[in-house]
Amino acid sequence: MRDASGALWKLAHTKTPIGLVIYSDYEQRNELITELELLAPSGIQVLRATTLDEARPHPRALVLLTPPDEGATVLELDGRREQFVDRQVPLLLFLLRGGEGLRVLADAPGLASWLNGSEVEPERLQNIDGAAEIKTFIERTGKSPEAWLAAYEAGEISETFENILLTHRARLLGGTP
Amino acid sequence: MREKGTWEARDTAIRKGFEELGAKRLHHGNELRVRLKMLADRGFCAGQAVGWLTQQNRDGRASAFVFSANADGQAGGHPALQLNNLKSLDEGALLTVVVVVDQRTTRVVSFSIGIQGKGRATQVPWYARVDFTDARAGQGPCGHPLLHCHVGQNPDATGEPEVRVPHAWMKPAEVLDWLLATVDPSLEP
Amino acid sequence: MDWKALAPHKPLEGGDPLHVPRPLGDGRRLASMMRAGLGPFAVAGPVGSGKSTEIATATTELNLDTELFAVDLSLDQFLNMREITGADLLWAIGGSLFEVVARPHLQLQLELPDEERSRLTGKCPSHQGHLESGPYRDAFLAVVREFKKKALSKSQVAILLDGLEKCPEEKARIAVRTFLSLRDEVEFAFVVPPSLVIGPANVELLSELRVFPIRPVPVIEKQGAHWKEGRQFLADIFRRRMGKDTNVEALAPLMETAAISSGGLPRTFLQLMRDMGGYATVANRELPTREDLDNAMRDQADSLRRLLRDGDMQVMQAADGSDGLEIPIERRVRLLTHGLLLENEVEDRVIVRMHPLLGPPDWISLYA
Repeated sequence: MRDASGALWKLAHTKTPIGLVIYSDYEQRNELITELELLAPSGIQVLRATTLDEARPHPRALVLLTPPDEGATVLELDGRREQFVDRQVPLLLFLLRGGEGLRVLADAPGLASWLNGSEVEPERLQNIDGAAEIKTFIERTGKSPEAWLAAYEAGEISETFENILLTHRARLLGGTP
Repeated sequence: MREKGTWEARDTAIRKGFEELGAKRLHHGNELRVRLKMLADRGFCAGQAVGWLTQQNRDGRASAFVFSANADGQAGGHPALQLNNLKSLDEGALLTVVVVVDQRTTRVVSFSIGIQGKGRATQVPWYARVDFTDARAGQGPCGHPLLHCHVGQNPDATGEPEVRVPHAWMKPAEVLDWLLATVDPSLEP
Repeated sequence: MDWKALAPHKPLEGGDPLHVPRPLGDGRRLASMMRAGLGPFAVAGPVGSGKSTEIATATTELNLDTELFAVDLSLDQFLNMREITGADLLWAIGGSLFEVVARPHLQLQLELPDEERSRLTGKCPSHQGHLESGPYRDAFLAVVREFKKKALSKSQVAILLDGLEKCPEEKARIAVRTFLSLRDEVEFAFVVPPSLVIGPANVELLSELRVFPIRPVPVIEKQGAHWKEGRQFLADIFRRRMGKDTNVEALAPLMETAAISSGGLPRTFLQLMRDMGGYATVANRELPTREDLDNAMRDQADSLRRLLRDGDMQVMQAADGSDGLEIPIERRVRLLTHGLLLENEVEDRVIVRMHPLLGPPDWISLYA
């Protein structure tokens, strides 16, 4: 299955000229910027930019572009995308989920087509299917996550390595932490 | 007189430490990734390791940082990261990481970080693992401190006595630092 | 494997050894129709269908003709396509022609009056506040006439233009009008946005030019009789771009599924193969697996779904297999432009189908 970090790693390491990272709020955007700085290929410069003009002279840097006006930047990038065709390392454009940038992108078919398959919405990939995961947990342990945790806290579950890891899983899947 | 209160005070301090970390909204995933990148850059693990530590969220309530199925090892029935070139452990040692946090506050709820392998010279199995859970389990706070460490030969051993060495308060990334420096002094932070 | 070599976003230049002729030889067909003077041609098709590559192929083909000189230009390399004026276009094509003929293989120094020369070699007219197109039209025609005089054997000039599809519809219409006014002097083919060649509002424009569609290649029988050639075409592109040392045979079943999933759009096919390779690399695998391709297909499907608006799916499902004319024009143009709805010619009839990656998950396996 796809996972957020794997998809971001692929995005940062694929020689696509432009990629898209969809974030849900500014705190998450900052976290994703840090994550991408760590995911960047070794020896590659990582550059934070807010305009296309800042990004353009750096075709060999991983550019993390966080424009203040996302809609205007999408339009500008659509008109200027040929100038970025020879990038060796992607320019990653950050757009807010449900924001103006994504709305404008739907009216820029050329740019949207370049981006197809190079768009990552980490939060969506991070969200697990709770019901399916709980079913798998029950199949594996014979207990619901809550029942497992109750048994663990009562000292009824031996602390094998696997059981310890299952206990953390139960905490993720069980009630409010 | 048996001073249970001292042990309870230790657990309370540990809980408080994690609450304070939560208030700082520390991103434990990225803290761990900093260490993984260093390991990858220095040839101790695969270059993809940073991309293998992934986040899983459930219903906006809890998040876990774990290795994805892409990772190149397996331990305890879960994905793990293979470590090589360590001074004290033979090739193919395994790093396991699970950190569960409250998604809203980022407070650590529980974690286990461990390394297992064979001594490079002795070929004797070895493992060390630090476990934390903020809920009391089993025995009292002395026999089962909230933050404790297991060291031995078999991570699945459940023989008598069950040993849980109380551990000083550390955040997950610092636990990883400690484990790495234990298996290779060149990894001392 | 060097998956980066696939470069799905990069159109090929004319004569590029990586070029693979399409099953119906679109570029060559366009060239022969231009040679016969059947234009001007409005080249239209969904994003990623290969319009730019076929324009370049047609240019190379036309230049084999001793009596014809052809040049292809990507207007977006010179102009901001959202703001173009007639003067800008004439400056761009006139200036480019003036510069191209002076290159080593022709080495023609055209003698132009100073005023016209400086107009074409100066800055973009709209940057200078020059909005009047007349002087630039005169300068452009002066270049063409001087060229025909100097290049004795080359009595015809063909200009093939890429980039108008990035214009807002009104700007593209102005551009086409500009080119139509020059049709007696030059053979033209230009890529246009689909909105310009669909619907009653364009009837008048369409009466003056010929539409040359670049459609997805058929990859399933329902898309057309040449579906086997379509799959082979995509496989050949992959083989050519990855190089001889790639173990293509080991990837054949995955390639087949990617071809079907692409709906016959070469760019989508290459994106799927590249992303499949990317997922294999994340997992430290030399050879990709079906799971890697599934992940790449999910990424593509997510991107396509982001472009959908309310009601699109129902409309496309209802129109699947029909001529699609019942879909209101604005919606049809948007769906066709994005490649969400794909047109193919089947037994002399144009039919539309929803992009396969938007269909139910088991759809693709039916055709594999």
